[in-house]
Amino acid sequence: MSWFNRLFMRRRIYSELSEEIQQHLAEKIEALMAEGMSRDQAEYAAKRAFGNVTRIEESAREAWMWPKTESILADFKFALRKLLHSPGFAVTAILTLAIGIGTNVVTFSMLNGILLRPLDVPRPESLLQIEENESYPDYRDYQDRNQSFTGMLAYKIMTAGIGIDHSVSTSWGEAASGNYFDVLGLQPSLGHFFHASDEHGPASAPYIVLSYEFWQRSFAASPQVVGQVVTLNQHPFTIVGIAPQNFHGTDYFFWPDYWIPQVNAEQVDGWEDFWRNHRSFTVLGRLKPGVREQQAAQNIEAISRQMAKEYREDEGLTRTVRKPGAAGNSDDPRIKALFGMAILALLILLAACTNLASIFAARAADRSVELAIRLAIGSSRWTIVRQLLAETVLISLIGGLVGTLFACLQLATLAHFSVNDFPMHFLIAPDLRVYLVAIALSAASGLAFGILPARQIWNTDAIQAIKNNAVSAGSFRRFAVRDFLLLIQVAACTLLVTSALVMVHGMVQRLRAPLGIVPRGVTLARIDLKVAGIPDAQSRIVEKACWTQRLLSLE
Amino acid sequence: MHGYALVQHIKQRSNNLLQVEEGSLYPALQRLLKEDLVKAEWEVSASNRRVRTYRVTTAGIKHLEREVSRLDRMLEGLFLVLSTDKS
Repeated sequence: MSWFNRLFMRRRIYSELSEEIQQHLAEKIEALMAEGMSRDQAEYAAKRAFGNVTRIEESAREAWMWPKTESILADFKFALRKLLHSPGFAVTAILTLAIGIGTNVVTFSMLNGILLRPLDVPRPESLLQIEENESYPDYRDYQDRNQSFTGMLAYKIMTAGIGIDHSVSTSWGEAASGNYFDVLGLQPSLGHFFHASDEHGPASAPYIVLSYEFWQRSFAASPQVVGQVVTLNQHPFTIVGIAPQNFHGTDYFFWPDYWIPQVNAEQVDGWEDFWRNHRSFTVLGRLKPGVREQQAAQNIEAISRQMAKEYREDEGLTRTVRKPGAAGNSDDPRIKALFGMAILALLILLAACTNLASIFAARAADRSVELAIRLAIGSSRWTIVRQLLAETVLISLIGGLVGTLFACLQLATLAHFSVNDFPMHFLIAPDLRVYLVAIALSAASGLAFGILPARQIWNTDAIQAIKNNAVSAGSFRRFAVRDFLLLIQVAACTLLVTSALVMVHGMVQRLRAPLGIVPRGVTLARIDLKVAGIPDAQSRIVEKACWTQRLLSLE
Repeated sequence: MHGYALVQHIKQRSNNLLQVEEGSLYPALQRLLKEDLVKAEWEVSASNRRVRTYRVTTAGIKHLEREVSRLDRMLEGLFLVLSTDKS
């Protein structure tokens, strides 16, 4: 019989056992009556000979149990019953912890999504980024002169009116060097990518690769899309492929809709990228095997100094490398703000936990007579502590669950946060790592702070406790602990309230900051004629004319 | 043999020297059942009573032999110690 079957056959085993014992007694009684006893006498004698039926049945059942596991389960059952009896206490404790855990799950999710999540490309650890934006000619020099990278790529963010079947809409994409996808080591989910070999001078590669999301959104994931022509600011581009599903470019917030070769960018957005001082490109490199980040940094620094000497536009240039994305940029104020928030969230958890510990201590004090009686009638201290711990763990897990639920709701709203038509996304949906952290935080906070009242019980003298009534048992020490908890709580809360006020104050100040003009009654409008394919220089003239006309008519 | 019969059997075979609390037999039987050293079946006894009959399994026999030889050695040891004390 496997242990699994046994678990479900227990009821049968127990009832068979009872029946067997009853049969035994009946047989004995019959035998005794045959010897001449009356029924009453026989029953009495049979039971005496047998022993305590209940106790024997229980000890026979134990053969089938896992005493440790089952007594722990019983602890939890009892704890649950106790909590249901005092819903006020349970709800307060659970909500307190839910707030603490919830805030931490939100901030940790953000940290996780922004700092810890690697780029969705093969071997993301061997990618490095030049710390600041560079011009395209400088990128070409880095690419040609370095000894540390197997390849370097460059891209810039661009916006254009994309025309699909004669309807034009604003879109955001990237203009990338021809080797972009090859350096990243990606495989298309449909069609193919453009390559360095496709580039033969300005406007020589009118190819476009769509992001998976854009393909789903604008083409309903139609597989016939490869070979179709779309227009960017009225210039035709042939769709050659679709990027992999999880690839959203190498910036963390900006998700491009498409990629076009850099050689074709000028005709679309009108920017002349061949100026050395036009620094709008992000440059990434794939390290050669065996080359360390340090060596690559020295290499790039040497090249940048060399260029500073050679070109007037590059005077004073020194560059180094860092990890791509937000993780590599420790000076980024957004990252600092995020860390600040994480610290505040931990403080909230600390405040919540100290509050929880006080609630638990108070509850243990309320129950001290009950606990003392249990000690007096022979329960071991360990059993009582284990039972209180079960209560604590139960509350922390429920609290953690509720908190995580709240956090997920909040994160879902945050993930859809966007500014106008800019394709900004936060990949901050909680993953396994976040859930593990949430469980660990709740269990740890529950155990760490639930152990405080447990300590009191350990030191309780049962006789004293019963004699002196509820409050005084071990009271001296308890008040010291509670005072200390209160102190931490007040300190943490003061800090939190102050920093919250400072933050809000700062935000209000920002909103009120003088712009140098009076914004009252002003309407903001934008005209972009490039979307209609009108070249930059001309469109500026037209735009100016439009505005003058409009302004004149307003007067 | 079923529980009640077992008790009687032990009493008779030991000339009433071994007087066990009858009930204590059952926890022991349950442990044997769990270890698959015996198996149990419901049968109708000679006195027309529904009883649960236990039979020793092969594993049970092996286990019994081991235990008996251990007991023998222990008794032998005890006997030796006691007999040397007398002399």
